[in-house]
Amino acid sequence: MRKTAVLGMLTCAALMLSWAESFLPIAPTIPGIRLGLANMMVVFCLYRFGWREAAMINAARILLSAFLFGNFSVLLYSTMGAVCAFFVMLLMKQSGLFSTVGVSIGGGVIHNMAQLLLAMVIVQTVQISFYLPWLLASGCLTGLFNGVAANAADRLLPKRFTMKE
Amino acid sequence: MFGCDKMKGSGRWFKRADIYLLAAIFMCVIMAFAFHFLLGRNDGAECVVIEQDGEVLYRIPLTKLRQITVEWQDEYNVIRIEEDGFSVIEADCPDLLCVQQGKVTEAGTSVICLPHRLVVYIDGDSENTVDALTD
Repeated sequence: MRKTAVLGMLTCAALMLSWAESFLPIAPTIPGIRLGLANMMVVFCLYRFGWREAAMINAARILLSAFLFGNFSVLLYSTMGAVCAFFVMLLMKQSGLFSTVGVSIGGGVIHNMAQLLLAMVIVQTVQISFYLPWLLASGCLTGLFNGVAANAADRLLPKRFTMKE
Repeated sequence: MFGCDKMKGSGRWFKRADIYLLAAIFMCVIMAFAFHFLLGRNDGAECVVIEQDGEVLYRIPLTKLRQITVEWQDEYNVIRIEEDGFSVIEADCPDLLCVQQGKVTEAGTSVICLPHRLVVYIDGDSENTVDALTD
């Protein structure tokens, strides 16, 4: 029961974060640059609970935010980014080579790259590759930030708050 | 790192592989910027290329003021071409990111409207430019 409640809260937090960050114009000249704060919750969940719970949170937040704020196109891009990023993060975590921060950076970068690739396929142009270095750098920076936040949460939040005693 | 190794929790803040990962991404960013810089050099007359759904609709030299409306399934983008660049000044796509990107003056730089599958960019090397549009 406690776990279910916590997972619901994490999903809610992820939704709120992605809603709030849509009001922050970081770089309007480069579409696709976002803080990706919702990934913080996914990374935290991945380390605290495991991949099943993290996948559930991820799926729930994508579907909910697409229904609430987005359209089909948004759903397509965010699903593509999130699924690719999730698998890469999972592989990186299972390899044991990377820390939470490293896993989060990998997720952020792959999320942006997957969306760029999808945009290239849909629009059928290689011109979009102009955004590649910007998206790489921003995915890296936001991944770093989210990773540090998720790691800090995992250290500071007592286990008894999130799991059954 | 950061003296936090003694803390209990999910391992260290950074591991060796993280540093390699960061270095690799940094190299990629530098290389991508360099690649774009080399490709985007001006080799003569510049022209604006308007592509939709993978097809080139117009190639227009940057010479005089002109406005072009591109339609996509009953929706549109208005592109304003000036002597030193172009901008998408009006559109009815849902996010309006193309309009927010403002005026583009550098060769190799593009404005993209994902919902309308529209790409507009300045081609710096336009040896074989044909003015596809006449009115």
